[in-house]
Amino acid sequence: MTAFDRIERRMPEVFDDLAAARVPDYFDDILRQTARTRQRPAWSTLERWLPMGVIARPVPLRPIPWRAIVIAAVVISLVVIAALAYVGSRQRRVPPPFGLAANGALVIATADGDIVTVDPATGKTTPLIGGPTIDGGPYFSNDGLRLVFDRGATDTTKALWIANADGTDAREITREPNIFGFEWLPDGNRAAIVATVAGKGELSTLDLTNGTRTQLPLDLDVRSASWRPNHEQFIVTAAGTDTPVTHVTFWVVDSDGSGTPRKIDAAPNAINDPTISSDGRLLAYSTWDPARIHVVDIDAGDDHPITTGNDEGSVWQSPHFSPDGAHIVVNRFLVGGDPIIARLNIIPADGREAPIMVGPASENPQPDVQFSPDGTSLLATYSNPKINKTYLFDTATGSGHEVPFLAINGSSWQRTAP
Amino acid sequence: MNQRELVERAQRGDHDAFALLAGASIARLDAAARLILRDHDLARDAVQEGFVRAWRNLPTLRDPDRFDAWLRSLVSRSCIDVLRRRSRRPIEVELMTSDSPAIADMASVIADRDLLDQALRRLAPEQRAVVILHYYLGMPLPDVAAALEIPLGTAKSRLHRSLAQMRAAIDGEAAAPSVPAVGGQIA
Repeated sequence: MTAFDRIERRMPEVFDDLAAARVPDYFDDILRQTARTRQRPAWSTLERWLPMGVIARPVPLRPIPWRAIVIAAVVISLVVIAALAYVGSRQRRVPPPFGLAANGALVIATADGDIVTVDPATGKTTPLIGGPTIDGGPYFSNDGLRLVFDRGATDTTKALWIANADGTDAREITREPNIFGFEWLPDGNRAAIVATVAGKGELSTLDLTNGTRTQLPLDLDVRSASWRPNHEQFIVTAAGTDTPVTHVTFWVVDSDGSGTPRKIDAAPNAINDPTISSDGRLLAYSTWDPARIHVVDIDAGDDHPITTGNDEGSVWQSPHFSPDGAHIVVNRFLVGGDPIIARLNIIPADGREAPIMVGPASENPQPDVQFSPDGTSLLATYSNPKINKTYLFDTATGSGHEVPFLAINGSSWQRTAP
Repeated sequence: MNQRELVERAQRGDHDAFALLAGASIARLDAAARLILRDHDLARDAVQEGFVRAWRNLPTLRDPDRFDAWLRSLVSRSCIDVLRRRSRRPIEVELMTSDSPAIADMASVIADRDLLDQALRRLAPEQRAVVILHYYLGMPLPDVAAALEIPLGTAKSRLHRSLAQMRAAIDGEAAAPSVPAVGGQIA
């Protein structure tokens, strides 16, 4: 046996001896630095996930000149707005809960903790939810009539609020420490909530009209839940049963939790959250090693990859179905690059056509994306060491441009009737 | 409270939870950075950058159970970023060794340590990174490839070449006479 053979067998232990693992003296500096650093909002996949790391920043009060006049003007304006909103809401048609819809208001959360509507072309903003509170994570209901947002502080308890689409009638719907997922149900009067209970992810429904919370009796460690379009069912993502958890499983669950959950016939190396086609038929998700995008028919099975894998030069992750269900936008990492870069790709859901490359090449983290309700545009917000910008892309051509606003604290595009 | 719960709390902005997670990982990651970069200051920069990135982007981590692997990747990438930003050659410094290795054969350990140290010094930083991430941090090669942003095939060949170079260096050194030869020429 040569010296190298001897060392190779003991390499970890010799490394240990070579560079002793000790808590370095700069550890406290790191903690001080991170304590001053604002966390990026939580993943906004399909706008379901609510930003939770918002740092409190009080808004200074300004003296108001001509106080009486302004107050009177505000009161009159509010009355007029309320009257218009009332009349408008009584007459308004709503879009079907899934599929294509017309583009309504685009709302974003600002760095100051307000929620505003923004004109995608000019960047002009109009306050929607303001005041001294820190508000973020706006997410419109499927009918576009209301939006949910989180009103948080620096502690770990977050409050979820809902308001009408015009910002009126804001009210708290729940306040709890471990909530990490919110999903509107199609009727707009109920929501699905995923929260950690005793270390396990639990799914419950919340009646927004009377506050009744109903936990679904599932023997699953729920990671996320999405409504299955055209069915009275949830698609639940659950942690795998291995330790440590290295994959997830997907389940069809009746909306009231009755019956036995049915496991979807997906690949054993599935990871992260899936995306569901607007007809409720297909599930697309990512796998790891190889890192591919798979599509599976939720009822019929027939799971199959629609992309190559990392062994063939690309890592594909984070699929999102387009509103019409025909395309999927994904992050494609080109692992041959140095440094590795990712680009958004729009691929046909059947995998039969070449992907369209979209937007700038970007290092991690990957951009947050959402389709416009009419499916013609893709809003992508990049927040990484190289790019901090929001872009709007044409989904047909992949061309696009930077928009004059930054949506790193959450955004949602209102669906309206065509 | 288990690690998953800590990660979930940290994802929701609980800095104390993050401090616990960071405290559990930093010693080994700092050592790995020193092994890769061979420079205390650069290692400090890389680890600091990696942990700040981790805190900032923690809410976007989808699978809390992959926290350790994710953190290792971030610090590894920071090591590579630090190297790229520095045009100068990393300064070779003496690494801090442990006070009392828990191995009986002290002479053997010290000899092996010195041989390994010399062999490591001769590797390019990118090669050292593959070796350290794989053998010291125990990362599977696909994870090493992802962390270093190189194809899996490149990671494999880089590891193979590194080991071959280390073998040549160590076996050559071990077989060399104790008195340095003079008058030779390096090919």
